[in-house]
Amino acid sequence: MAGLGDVVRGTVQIAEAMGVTLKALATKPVTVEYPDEPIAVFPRYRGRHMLRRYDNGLERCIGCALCEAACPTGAIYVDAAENDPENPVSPGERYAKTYEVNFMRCVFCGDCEEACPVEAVVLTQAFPLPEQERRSMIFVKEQLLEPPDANIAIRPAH
Amino acid sequence: MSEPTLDAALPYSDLLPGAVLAVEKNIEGESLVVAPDQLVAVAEQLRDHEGFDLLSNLTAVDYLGFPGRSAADRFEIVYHFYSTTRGGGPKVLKARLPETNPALPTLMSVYPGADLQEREAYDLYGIRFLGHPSLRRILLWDGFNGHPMRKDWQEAYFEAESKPFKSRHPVGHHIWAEDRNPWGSNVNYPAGFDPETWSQPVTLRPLERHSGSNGVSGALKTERIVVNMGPQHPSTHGVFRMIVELDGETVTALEPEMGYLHRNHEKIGERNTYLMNMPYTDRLDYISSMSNNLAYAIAVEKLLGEAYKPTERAEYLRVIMAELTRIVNHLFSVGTFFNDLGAFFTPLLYAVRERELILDLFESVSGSRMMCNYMRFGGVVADLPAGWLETCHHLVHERLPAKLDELERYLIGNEIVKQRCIGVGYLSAADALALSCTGPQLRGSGVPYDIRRAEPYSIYDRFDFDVVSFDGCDVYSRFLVRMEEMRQSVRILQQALKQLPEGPIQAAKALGAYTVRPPVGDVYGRIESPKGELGFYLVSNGAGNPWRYRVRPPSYINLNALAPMVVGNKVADAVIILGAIDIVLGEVDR
Repeated sequence: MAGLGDVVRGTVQIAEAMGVTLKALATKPVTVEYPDEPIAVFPRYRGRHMLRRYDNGLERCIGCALCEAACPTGAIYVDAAENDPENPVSPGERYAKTYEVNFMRCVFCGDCEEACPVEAVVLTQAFPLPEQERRSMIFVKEQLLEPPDANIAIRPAH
Repeated sequence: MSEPTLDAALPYSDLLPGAVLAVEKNIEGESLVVAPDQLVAVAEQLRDHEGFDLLSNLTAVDYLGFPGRSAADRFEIVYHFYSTTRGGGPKVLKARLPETNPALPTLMSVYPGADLQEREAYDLYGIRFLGHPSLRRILLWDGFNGHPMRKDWQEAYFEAESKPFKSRHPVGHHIWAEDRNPWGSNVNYPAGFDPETWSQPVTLRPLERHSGSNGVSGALKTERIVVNMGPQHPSTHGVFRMIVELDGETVTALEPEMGYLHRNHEKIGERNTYLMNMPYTDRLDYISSMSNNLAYAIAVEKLLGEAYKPTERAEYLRVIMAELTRIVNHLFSVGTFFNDLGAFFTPLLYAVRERELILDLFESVSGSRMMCNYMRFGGVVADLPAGWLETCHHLVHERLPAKLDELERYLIGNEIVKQRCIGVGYLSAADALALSCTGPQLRGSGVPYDIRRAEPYSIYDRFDFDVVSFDGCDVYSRFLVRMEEMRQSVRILQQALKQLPEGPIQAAKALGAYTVRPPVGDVYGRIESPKGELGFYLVSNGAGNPWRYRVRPPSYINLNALAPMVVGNKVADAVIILGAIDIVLGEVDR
């Protein structure tokens, strides 16, 4: 049989435990109503790729394919072509005629970004990448040149 | 591989004449080339007279086409032994086997922990270990044709020997693998194999070793039934299957079955360049990716030599990340352990809340919460962003200690937890060592063996911390070890944050080094990851890709002890014993 001491101790413990619960009621929830509310990522977040342009509209990519060589999963494919001097696509001698990223394979490690000598390919903060079928998961150059449009907020570094 | 030195005074020439064939000098020291038939005798000598009580790593290497090798010594089995009493570096044994019918005696009579690793070497290399009680495939199934880690084995959708795979875009656009080689017609069964009539050859091994209180009582005569726990079972933390033989509610035999998540990580690693493997290591033990990065970086840096020694600041950043990872891992492990105990998700959410704050730190420094890909050879990839240190300082000095107190107050003294855990899953210190257990599982059996103290890597010799061990030898002790280790990690973090120097984050030589070509040789680098000893055994032939890339996964090898711990307990306890091993299937199955 439980003695009076046990009953008192048990009651105190239950009250203590309920106290924890009640305290949690008063705290602000940490959950975010995604996708209604944007989700906050940090500036260095590694999401969907983007090919950058210079301010004058020329593409940065010079088609050197270092990103392709650095890619651990073989997600990137670059095919370079000579620039037309009259109407250049990029400031260098060559530009990327084809630039594909296969998001079925990409693991968002960021090695392409590190390998790029002209800071052309960068990983943006965009992470939602749903598509209806596997074959549309290969993004071609035109798609990659567009800045991503997504429900994302960027939080300060800290 | 350097030339074998053939001098007259080979080790053990007096005790075991003819056992050691040569002594090989290597990057880290020396290794003994042993005659396969004398291997067991040499291992007995090492264990009984020289104190090498832990068989840490056992693996095979295929030297087909390696310079200086022929068909007579194509395969090599490598053993790394450590001493938990003395600490320090390994004793390395190598046994060379011919191309035809490679076989050598099993080490299970001396080190029972060789069990799973020998089965893996059999599975992936086709090397037979004579006398092994259950030499079946472990990661692959019986319908798999060939032994995939052999150098002459190619998969059905083979692309190229090394990356980048040009074959993927031969005509200027992407070619889908399934167009070239449609699903369903790329399966190649071994000769005489019929998937329709196949049934899994599981032999439930009777347990020879009864340790402690796990005795089966035979009061009531009941029929024994065999139950599959898993692969789709919430308690197995992934796709892991335990074949359990039950007598009433008591487990009488258990056989772990794994490989559902097998992707042949090591073969992929051989086709990658050294740097490309870094993001792959994130995905081994995905709860603690920073630790995996560190272990791999340390192994490759050993191979690369002094020029790639990380800078001071990088060393500190690595230690800070590794210790934060340990806290993340143990919080998660303790939380899910309480799930297994039946305290469904409430303690886990308390633990995960703190974990989330640390993952925020990881995301802001590396760009990803879990797949960090943060370390590089000779340093780390990025310096801390502004404000990171302040946040980390607050977390380490104020928030985490308070929250660990809170967790401890609610969890450790809990009467139900004690009732469920104390005395369950008994594993004596001797058994834990014999079964090659490492990490919290070994320290929960009262062996204070921590690689950070026994063989300090990076800069762990500069920090003041205690090696935690509890000698209850049960699930409760392992849980206590994890709780206390988090406190010790906080201690290390406090010191590291205080001492963190300014300076470059990558060694000068390592800057922009995308392709590293280490000198010829082999190396074993290991760290104390949160789950145990995580090691990488690398063989280089001087090229940009590793010749052999072997992961010594702690949670896979800790599973050696699963059956001995579970047998004799109730089936509900099997769940918490598995939970207390703390497995991650990404690492178990690789």
